[in-house]
Amino acid sequence: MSPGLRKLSLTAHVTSSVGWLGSVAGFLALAVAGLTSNDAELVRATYLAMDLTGWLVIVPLGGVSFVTGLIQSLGTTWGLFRHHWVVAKLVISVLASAFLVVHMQLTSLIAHAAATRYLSRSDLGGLRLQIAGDAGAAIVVLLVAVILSVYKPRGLTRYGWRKQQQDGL
Amino acid sequence: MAEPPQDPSSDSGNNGPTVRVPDGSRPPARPRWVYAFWTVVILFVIVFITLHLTGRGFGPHMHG
Repeated sequence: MSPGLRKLSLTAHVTSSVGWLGSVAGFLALAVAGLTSNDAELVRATYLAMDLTGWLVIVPLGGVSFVTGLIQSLGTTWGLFRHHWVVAKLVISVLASAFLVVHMQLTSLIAHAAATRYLSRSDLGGLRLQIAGDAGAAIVVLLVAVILSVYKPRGLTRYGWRKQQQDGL
Repeated sequence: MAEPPQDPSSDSGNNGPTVRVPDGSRPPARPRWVYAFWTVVILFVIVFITLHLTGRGFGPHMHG
């Protein structure tokens, strides 16, 4: 991969990954407001906003982060399975994306209910609490991914070690 | 194009890995943080599947 393309891919990856984290933080703020507020209009607006930002911002950012992460790893000498920290980030990205899709379906259920009827604090209480908990957990997981990217903890996988041996010959 | 191995103490940024030149025929030991990472991942997946199967989360059965 040329240096220019590598920089472009890296920029897209950093932007989408950090944007993913930031948008989930915003989502968490809305989830807490929707869970704790007694204002019916605020609750309705909150869940409609969460549904929109989830599908139109968070899911696309997660997808872009995943794809650009693949490009970054496969297009550079880091590789996808050579270093433990890259594998860890791949696992985080795959699991987070899968859970995000499940999570967004639940969010859409609540948003649909909020759009069609009044939601008291106890209505859909379990789901609303779960949505807020999921968002909090997602922030922790995405923070771990950021930390791995910054610190790049040392450690070759067996595959990476074999490749290094072959390249050294 | 593969880049040459660099000094492990240097900051390589995102241009390529900082790798230790192999000095033996055995693969390196897995770092401790990797064991911790996979333990947390496995626990997380078990909790998710357990909650899903016992009906305590992740589904429309929680409505109402």
